[in-house]
Amino acid sequence: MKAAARKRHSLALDPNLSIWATSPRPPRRVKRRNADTSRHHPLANDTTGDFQDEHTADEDDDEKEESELGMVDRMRLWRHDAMMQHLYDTATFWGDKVLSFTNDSNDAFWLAQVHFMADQFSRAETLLTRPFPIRPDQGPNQHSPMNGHHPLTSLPTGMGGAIETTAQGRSDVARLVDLSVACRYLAAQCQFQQGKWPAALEMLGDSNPFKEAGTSLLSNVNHDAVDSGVKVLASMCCLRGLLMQKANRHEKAKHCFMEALTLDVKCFDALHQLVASQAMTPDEEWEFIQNLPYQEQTSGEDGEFIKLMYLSRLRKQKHLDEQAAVLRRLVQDFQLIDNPDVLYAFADQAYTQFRWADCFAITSRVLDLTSVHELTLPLHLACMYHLKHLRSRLFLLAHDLVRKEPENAIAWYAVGIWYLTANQFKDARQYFGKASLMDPKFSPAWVAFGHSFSLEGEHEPALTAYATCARLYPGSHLPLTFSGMEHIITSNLDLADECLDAAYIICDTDPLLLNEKGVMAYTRGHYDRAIELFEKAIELAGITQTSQEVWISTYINLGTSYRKLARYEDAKSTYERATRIEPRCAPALAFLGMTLHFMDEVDQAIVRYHEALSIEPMNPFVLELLNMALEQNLEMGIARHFLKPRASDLSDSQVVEDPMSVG
Amino acid sequence: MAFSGVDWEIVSSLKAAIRDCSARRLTVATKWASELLLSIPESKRRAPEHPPEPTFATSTPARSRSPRQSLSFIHDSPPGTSTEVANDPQLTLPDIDTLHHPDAPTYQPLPDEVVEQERAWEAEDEDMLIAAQAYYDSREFMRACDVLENCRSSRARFLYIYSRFMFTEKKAERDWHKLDKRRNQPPEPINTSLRDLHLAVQNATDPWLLFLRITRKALFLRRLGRREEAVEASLLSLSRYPWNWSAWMLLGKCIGDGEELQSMLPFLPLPPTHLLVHMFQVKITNDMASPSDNELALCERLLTADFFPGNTWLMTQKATILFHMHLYVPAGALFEKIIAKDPHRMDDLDIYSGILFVLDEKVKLSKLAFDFLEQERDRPEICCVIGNHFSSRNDHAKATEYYLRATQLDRTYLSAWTLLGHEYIEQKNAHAAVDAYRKAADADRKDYRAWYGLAQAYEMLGMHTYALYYYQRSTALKPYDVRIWQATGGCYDDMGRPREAIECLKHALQQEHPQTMAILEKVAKLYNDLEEYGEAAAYHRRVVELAQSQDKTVEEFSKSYMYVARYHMYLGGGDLNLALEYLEILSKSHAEEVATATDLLKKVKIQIQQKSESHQSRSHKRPTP
Repeated sequence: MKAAARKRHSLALDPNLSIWATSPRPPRRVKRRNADTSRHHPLANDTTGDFQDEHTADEDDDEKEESELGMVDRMRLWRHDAMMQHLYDTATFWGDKVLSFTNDSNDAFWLAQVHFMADQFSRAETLLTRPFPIRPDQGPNQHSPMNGHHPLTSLPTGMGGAIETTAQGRSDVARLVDLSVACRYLAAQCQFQQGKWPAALEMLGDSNPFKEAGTSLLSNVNHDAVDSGVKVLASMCCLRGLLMQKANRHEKAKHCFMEALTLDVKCFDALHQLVASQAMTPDEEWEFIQNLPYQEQTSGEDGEFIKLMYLSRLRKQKHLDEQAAVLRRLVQDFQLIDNPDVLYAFADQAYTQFRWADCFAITSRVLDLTSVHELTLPLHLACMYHLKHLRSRLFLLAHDLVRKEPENAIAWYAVGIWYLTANQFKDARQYFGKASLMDPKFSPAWVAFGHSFSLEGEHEPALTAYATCARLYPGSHLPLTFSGMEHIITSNLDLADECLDAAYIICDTDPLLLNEKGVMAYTRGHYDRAIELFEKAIELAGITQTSQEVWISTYINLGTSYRKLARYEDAKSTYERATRIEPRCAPALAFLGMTLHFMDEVDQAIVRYHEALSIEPMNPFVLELLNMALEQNLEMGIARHFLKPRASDLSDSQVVEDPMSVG
Repeated sequence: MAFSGVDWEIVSSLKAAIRDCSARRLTVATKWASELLLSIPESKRRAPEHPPEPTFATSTPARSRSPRQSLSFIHDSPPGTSTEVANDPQLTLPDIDTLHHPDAPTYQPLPDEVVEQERAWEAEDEDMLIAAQAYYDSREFMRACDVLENCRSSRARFLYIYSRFMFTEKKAERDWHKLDKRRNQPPEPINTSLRDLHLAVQNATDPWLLFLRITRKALFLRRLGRREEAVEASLLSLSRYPWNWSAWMLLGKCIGDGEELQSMLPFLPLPPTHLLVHMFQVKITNDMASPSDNELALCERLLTADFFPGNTWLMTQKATILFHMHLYVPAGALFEKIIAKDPHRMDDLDIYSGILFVLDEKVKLSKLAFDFLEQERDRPEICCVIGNHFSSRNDHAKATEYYLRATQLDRTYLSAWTLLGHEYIEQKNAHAAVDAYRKAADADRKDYRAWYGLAQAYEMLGMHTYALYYYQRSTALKPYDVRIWQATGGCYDDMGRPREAIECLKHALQQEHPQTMAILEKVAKLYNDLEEYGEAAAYHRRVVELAQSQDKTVEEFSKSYMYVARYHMYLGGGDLNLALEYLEILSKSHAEEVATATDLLKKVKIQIQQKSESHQSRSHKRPTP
């Protein structure tokens, strides 16, 4: 009946149908199920199907032993079907029976898989690490390739430790983890899930044990089956990376992830971790992702597509044009305009350019498509922070997230952001702390934690928070930049220089950083250099209409540097630009007044001072400047004052020369 | 002048303007245009048998000054106190073509296809537009926006943006009032959405949207970079829609002083003899409180039977001109005529009340106040009238209250702020006065009275540098005002700069003024303090001569007589005969110095005697007279 149903290809609609049929390569399984003779049930191949050469061997096996068809096979079927339908108790029940019948290592592996899926990690671990009787005919050496297990006979020693020796002491008893790589990986996963990180690391080994041995193996595999699933080896590397992260060995973790990606470019987890942990500098990242062996490991367009997807995931501070090209290709060649990940890339781009409104539009779309998108949410929240009119929506969103995902750090992060918009720094900090406790790798919470101190004027704790952040994310220049900013505020110029230079090494194209460096150059009196930096920052910012408010301070800085070098015309036009962007920018107006004052246009200067004071009525500096200008006006005023009526004496109908005319 | 009278073309333009304007809910503009139209004799208003080629498409004025419109942009400032005739080069209109700048935009209607497209879209949006207009009328601005969201015609776009603007302004004002009486309340409401709205109309070509664009900019007036753009946009808008009175008014707002007006006139898209240009000129010079005979002539001509006989707006303008020319009585008479003609018209009534105040017609002022209080108490003009009423009765606290109310009703109501400042000065509250005058100067920097008041207030506070600066600004706007020069001189004197003070006072002396005598005396005193006795005596002599020519009594100016005499006797003047003459006059008068004068008279006679003797003994040439 099931076979018939499968032939109809109306799988999804038939309630009588088991789910497993929807997994890849159904024809083959159909055929095999019809044969249905194997002791090693073909279903066991599902997730470990990357060694296809073994399957063929397996199949041959199966066909040799066609005679044995019976209850065990049916039970295996039930086990698998139940697992697919998340009836884990059922699956455990039948799997257990099958294992008792056969005492087969394959069945043990699948039972462990069921336990794992049912979150019974320790049970799975025990199953995988307990001594397992090996029937003479099934020993790892005699019955070569076990279904779903790595065929290597030369499993490197030093992984299993003491038990292995005992296991090897008795020829008929061995641990499953010593028999197959897949089992070992699963066991490590179990330990990882239980938080037994050192044990898991021991299980996996400190470094990839197949590094040397693997090359030949890999090449074999690759040539035979380009289109296979994700390699267990890569997964192991990835898991090792995660464990290294847990052990705070970030450098090592980075290498593990990189290795995983090199082993199998499809291992997205590794990329995700690499990008999320910001372990690499933008350039490194770009180079690495650019040069992964896509073509070797994939066929057809896949390689190109994976590459584009991965590139679009990277940070947008550098290679802006290339990034734009990548996104264009994804949209044009692959029609992925409405995919959340591609949209995320667009949003990230907009955010990096400080186009908050645009970014918010995109992120809103992403969140419409998928209610929670881990990557997009921080962007979305940040936009909501910047766009003040969205405060009530932020409130709603934070509540929603806390209700729906109380276990996710981002929900509490959202709450913190809301408090931050309300300038309730203490409360905000509490929630940021909570978020970073829940997920210590969640960088936005750490940065926001620092910001909440900084906004309150508590520079020391802010510095500590940024330092933590910098330690956690060695590839990101932002924490260093923020630290530098704090140092500038506290006038620790040397330290600020150090921080900013370090940040500059990581990323030399961030206009924000260039602005800060410019400020440093300015404070040290290198005005030429400062001007250079500010100009470059403005150029890099690629300022658009919507983002220009952000760069007002850079314009003001630039103007001030010009002013210091007595390039008053330049200073004037720069300040004017700032006032055009934001007509109510008091410092720009005051500085413009100062510049005009220097240019001896006292009247204009006075007008500007007045404008500045109308926004900030009690600014003592501007008041002082205004008084000075008025004094000077008094001195100069007399002479100009009297030119005018003299002109009018000549002819009463002539227009009066007006020195006071403004603008 | 090019226009000999109102013809069908103007009538049709006005009609179209009224239609367009009310469709866009520019109510005050509609009112203005309708008034003009109604004042045209009916025979001319009828369509002629063979209508001439329509040249100007349509037009619209917009001028909102009703209290409910206080949120909207345009503001004509009702002038308040005295002024005198300023020179105006417009008096002599040279050849038209030379006046017109080659780069000036000329009248350029939108291309036909655009007009066609617009018409099609408007037909599409018709139903939505009607709904939106209804929402707008019931002050549901955002609903109007919602219904117009997807409309494409520029009329709908206009109403959309205009409604949004009104909404955001209202919101800004409300937010601002939330901070009332708080320290951190900014000086004026801040509408943060202006920039976005401005972006929405940035690349507009439609004259109405262009007009909106200036609106935005007009609010940015104080940011100077933007003002040039605003002028440019309004000129462009006018070149597309010349009868758009609102654009004219906004253009007027952008102009800072007479010089700017003069430099801009050649850029107007219309010939300088066009009716609208004339009306614009009249209005602006009134706003600058410096109209001349030329404007008066223009106004009178526009009021003749050929144009708009009996138009109340023009009559008000004429009265205002008279008022600024210090012809208070005819101005008051004209206002009475206006009220008789249109008894419920409240625009510009504050000017009338100002006239009555200056004429000290307390009874009439009270009647006016009570009459209009019956009608409406929420109009800033009426509040101003009532304030003037109380002020004339020296009830300054009450007056302040009403002026304040007027400013609350309309934050940009210039004359109320100025009057409020005056009241505060009366109450010796210089700080509050500074605040009020500053608001007035912010509202319109063309108004010299605000600057003058500001300067006076600062002088009261002893902040002379500030005072001086503001005096300079007001003299820049009004170079021939004796009082300002006099005050400037006083200010310099207080700062211990007698030379500058003398210069200023000399400028004040260039015009005849009731104060001339006092100024002369002041100059003389300053010279005396500088120990330049010759100059001092010269000025005292001018005092004496002036007094003699005006038949003033000797007693008033006895000190000047005495000074001149003493100078010539003891301080090196040497003209003993003059001294003799003055002393004789003095000694015959009832001045308190009679005794001294008689005494000195004797001495001078001796001196003359001695001099003539020595003279004779030396040369024997000149006989003494």
